[in-house]
Amino acid sequence: MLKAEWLRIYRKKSIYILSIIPFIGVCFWIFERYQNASELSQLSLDSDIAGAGETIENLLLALRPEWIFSQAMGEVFSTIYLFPFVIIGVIWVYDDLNHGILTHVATVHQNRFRYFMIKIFSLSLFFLMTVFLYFFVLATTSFFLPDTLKSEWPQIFSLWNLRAFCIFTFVLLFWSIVGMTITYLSQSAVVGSGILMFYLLFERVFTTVTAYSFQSELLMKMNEYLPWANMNSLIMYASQIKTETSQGFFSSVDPIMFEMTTYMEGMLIPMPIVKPLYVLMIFSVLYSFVFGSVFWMTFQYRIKHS
Amino acid sequence: MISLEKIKKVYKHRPILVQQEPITIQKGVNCVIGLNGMGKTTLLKILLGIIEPEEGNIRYENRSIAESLKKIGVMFDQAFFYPDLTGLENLQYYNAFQEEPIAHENLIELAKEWGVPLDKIKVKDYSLGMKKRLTVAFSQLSNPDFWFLDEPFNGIDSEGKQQLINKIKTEKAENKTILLISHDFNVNIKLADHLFIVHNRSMYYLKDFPMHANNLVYSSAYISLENNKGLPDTFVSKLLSYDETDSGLEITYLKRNESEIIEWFLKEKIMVKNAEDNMLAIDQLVKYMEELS
Repeated sequence: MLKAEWLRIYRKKSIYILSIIPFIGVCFWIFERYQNASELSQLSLDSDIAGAGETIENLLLALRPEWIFSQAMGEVFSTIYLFPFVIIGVIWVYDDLNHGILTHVATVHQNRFRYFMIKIFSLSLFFLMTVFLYFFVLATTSFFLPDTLKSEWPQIFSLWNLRAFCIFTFVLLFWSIVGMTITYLSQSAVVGSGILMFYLLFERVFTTVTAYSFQSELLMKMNEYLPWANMNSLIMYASQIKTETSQGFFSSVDPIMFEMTTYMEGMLIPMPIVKPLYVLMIFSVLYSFVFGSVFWMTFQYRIKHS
Repeated sequence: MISLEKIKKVYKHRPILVQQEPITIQKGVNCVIGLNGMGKTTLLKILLGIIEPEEGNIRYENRSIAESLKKIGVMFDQAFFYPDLTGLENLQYYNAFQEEPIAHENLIELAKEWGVPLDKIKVKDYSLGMKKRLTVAFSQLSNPDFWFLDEPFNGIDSEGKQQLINKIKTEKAENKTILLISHDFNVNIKLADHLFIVHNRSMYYLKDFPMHANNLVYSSAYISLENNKGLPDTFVSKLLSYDETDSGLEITYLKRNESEIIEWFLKEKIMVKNAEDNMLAIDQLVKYMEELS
């Protein structure tokens, strides 16, 4: 069955194109890092600019084998370069709706869940392969950096990176399932991808704006558990935001989520927050269950109304 | 055989299909007829389990719909295929998902039998007729015991139509159950063993249609009368209607009166043009069935 699904995907050029678009973001990120490091290393140590006068080896730490994958992908997942990936999910299922495939599917096997799961499973495999491709390209890039020691190379296979790999794949699958669900509900690929992209931007802006404007602890508490906040926190973990090295904290990714922890002249000040990993995992399972169930129900509904 | 018991389908709080009497769809060719929008396709989807009725039960030789799906083949009136795949690839795709997939060689045989191109032409570049052929091939994937055809002759070329008619006859000879939804009354009359009528939200079933054909089928023909010679009253009484047209006098008569009418034509040496068979209006068919029951 998987073979049959690949046969179908094999012909979808749009899926390949969308998978490659985030590479642009990765390339920009690497270029920017490299350029900044080159400029900062030439400044004097007395300069006020952070990192000025540091050795280029230290400044390029984020591009070293141990860090490059989690840092670069963290950048991709925190920006609009995530959107092409979630659109893939919409394309993955839209043909089934648009060309009445579900009607035929309902007549070839009594177990419709089997077909439904094949869709999700094949998409999971596709994302695994895509994230691996990014991993491979980024690892290769880090090997070409000046002064990269051979002894550093095995660090690309660290547990940090394995965790990041799993988190990135999960986040892609999660948002794709949300996109698929909206597509099934609306019966439109444009609406499916449009609403999802809007939501991803909206929650991000809403969380930031409400943190500074409303000063409501209840609202801030709610914001911490919303879907985007939850997935974004996972990405923070994947990007090793809590890791401090001998060279100091260097993550390029800003959590953008806040909690009211400090009072200043009677005012609440929003501070960046990342929830504990176990809380994020519980909420991830919960959200996956909710959206997975809604997706399954809309799948059944579309068959009945096909 | 398929048994239907007290089926009731409601749409937006309005019943759209209500079964009064139990119906057993017999083996052989069952022609489903009904006016547009009367629920023929809805009935088909209920029989396939795509739509669940609010009430009632359907059994395929004492098995549920789910258990029987592997024995059901369906040809919808539209082609539901992936446009970016070839016809054969589409068949491969659905074959992979069916309960008992057939071997690749058999798949190619099936494609060849129905004239599905084996080259690289994608379905989006197929003509309507080619899509129809692909749809027939799809419906035969599982070599079904229950074969449902929804408007199979629309858009198919004459060669394909004849091939399909022959296939229906072959399947019938193999004691299979065929459900044929078609507006082509000529084909229905020729093939029907039983009649299934969907009308005004109700379902009616007439077993052994050929035994009733004389009362339900009429012929229409154009005849030319010389010297404005009128029709004798005894002849007129045998007709359903007659009407003067540009092509001559159009007469219609029930099959049961055909032998007497032809005898009169021969006797009077009257030339008959464009004689064709047709079925009575749905209302009349329903009335006939109600009188029978």
